Amino acid sequence: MPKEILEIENVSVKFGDAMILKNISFSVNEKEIVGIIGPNGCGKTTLLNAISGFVPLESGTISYNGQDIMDLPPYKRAQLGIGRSFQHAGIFRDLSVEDNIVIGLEKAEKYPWYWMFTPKFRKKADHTVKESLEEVDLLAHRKSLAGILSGGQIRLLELARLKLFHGNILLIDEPTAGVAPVLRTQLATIIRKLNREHGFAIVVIEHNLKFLFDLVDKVVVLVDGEKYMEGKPEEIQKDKRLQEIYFGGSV
Amino acid sequence: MGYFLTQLARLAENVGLAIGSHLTIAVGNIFFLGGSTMFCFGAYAVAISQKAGLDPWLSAVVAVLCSIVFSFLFVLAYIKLSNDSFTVFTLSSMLAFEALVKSWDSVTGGVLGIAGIMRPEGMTKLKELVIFQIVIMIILLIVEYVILKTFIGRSLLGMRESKYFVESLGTSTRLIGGIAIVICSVMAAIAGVTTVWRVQFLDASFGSVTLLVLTVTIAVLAAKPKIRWLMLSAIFVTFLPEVFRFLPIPSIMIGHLRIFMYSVMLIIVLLTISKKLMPQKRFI
Repeated sequence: MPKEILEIENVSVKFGDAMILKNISFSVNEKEIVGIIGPNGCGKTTLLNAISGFVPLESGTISYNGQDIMDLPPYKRAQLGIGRSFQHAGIFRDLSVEDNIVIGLEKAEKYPWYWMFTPKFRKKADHTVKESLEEVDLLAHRKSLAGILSGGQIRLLELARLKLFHGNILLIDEPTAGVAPVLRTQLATIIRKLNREHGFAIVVIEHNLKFLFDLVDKVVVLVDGEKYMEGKPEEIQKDKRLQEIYFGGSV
Repeated sequence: MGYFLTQLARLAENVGLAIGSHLTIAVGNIFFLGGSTMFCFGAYAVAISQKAGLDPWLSAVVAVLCSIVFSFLFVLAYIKLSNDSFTVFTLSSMLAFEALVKSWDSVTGGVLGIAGIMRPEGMTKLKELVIFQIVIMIILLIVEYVILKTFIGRSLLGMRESKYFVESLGTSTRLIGGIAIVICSVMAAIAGVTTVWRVQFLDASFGSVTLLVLTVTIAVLAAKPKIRWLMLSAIFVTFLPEVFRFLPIPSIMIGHLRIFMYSVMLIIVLLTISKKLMPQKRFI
């Protein structure tokens, strides 16, 4: 029986008078990849923001590894092991490519504040940065500002940093947004690697359904802030009503 | 000789005062305007301690320790208030401090101020004091350089773009912002201590709006989170108004012209490089 690591129960989120999420419940098991789909504005990103602690809940509970995390600020949730990537890529464009890795590395590895001035840590960090950037073909851009990278390269950099994150679950928001088709395969490979080799459970939001269905174990469909259905990718694809109301005929 | 020494001293003092603001405003995009309040606080703390009979060195230590404690008031405001309210709070702190100094006659000397502030032994001559001020300036610059190389510097730079992204890495932006505010406050207080040792007199006009405008001008003009830009900006802002001295302008007007020049510079800089100073915030 796989261990449940994230449990979302009857979660509702309200912005002003508008109810963005209504009684959403689902769970994520250890090393499972869960996809979240739905039309624009149905509350997918808000759901990830609620899990990360960036938006307050109107009602419901969120537990991580059996612990209620409702009262924890975002950084504490990250320290517990909930990693996050963002719709517009959480990369610091004014920092160098190298520093974007280092800022994640020094936190994840709990380096002392003076590590930059000790040869032992510098060597260790240098090795990790090199290895991480090599894996995503960004080593040549090591000293460049991250802001000059293309959309796809920025996504790869974000995933390279996530790989160094110490935790159990990653929330990935639209990894293929603004990415050229040629890079999508590489992104999928890295996400699979994060799951299989690094043992992360992954919750991924994606509009590219082919990309998503090839990747995930389970899909949660949101429509108008409510959970419409949940199931294996093949079950979701067969649902006639879903095809009509959401996919416009066929998947 | 005295003129050049005074100008060098002013440069060292301005750099000391502006480093903290550079760290908060130019690096972290935290609009903390309490640097000049802390400058005055440091100056008054050293003067009052001396009045109470403490040795100049000991009074400087007391001033720095008190400034650390006092800076937590700003940290509390940073944690509790929104960005805009925090900026207004730090701005009004200077007015509140000035009012306190003016009205608390028995301790601060009120509008008459405190005269006869002693320099530490070995620095009774201006030349010796200026050398000490330059050493302090270099130490403070090294401190900022080190901070920029650590996770605090990187996190502050990250916060310019998005606090959410920094928090998602497991870093408390409140903690990082708080550390930057305490460092800024202590550096400004140290600059206040060395300045009051030079002028040996203190009254309520010591930290005026002029000082605030000067500090913000240096920090904003530097724009980039690089030490060399801060130094260039401080040199430019300190020495540029000196050209007025060689023009046929009544000396009483020079002070007004200086603040006018700083203000114009500030407006021009904000209009031309505001994107560099305040990068577009990214949302989630």
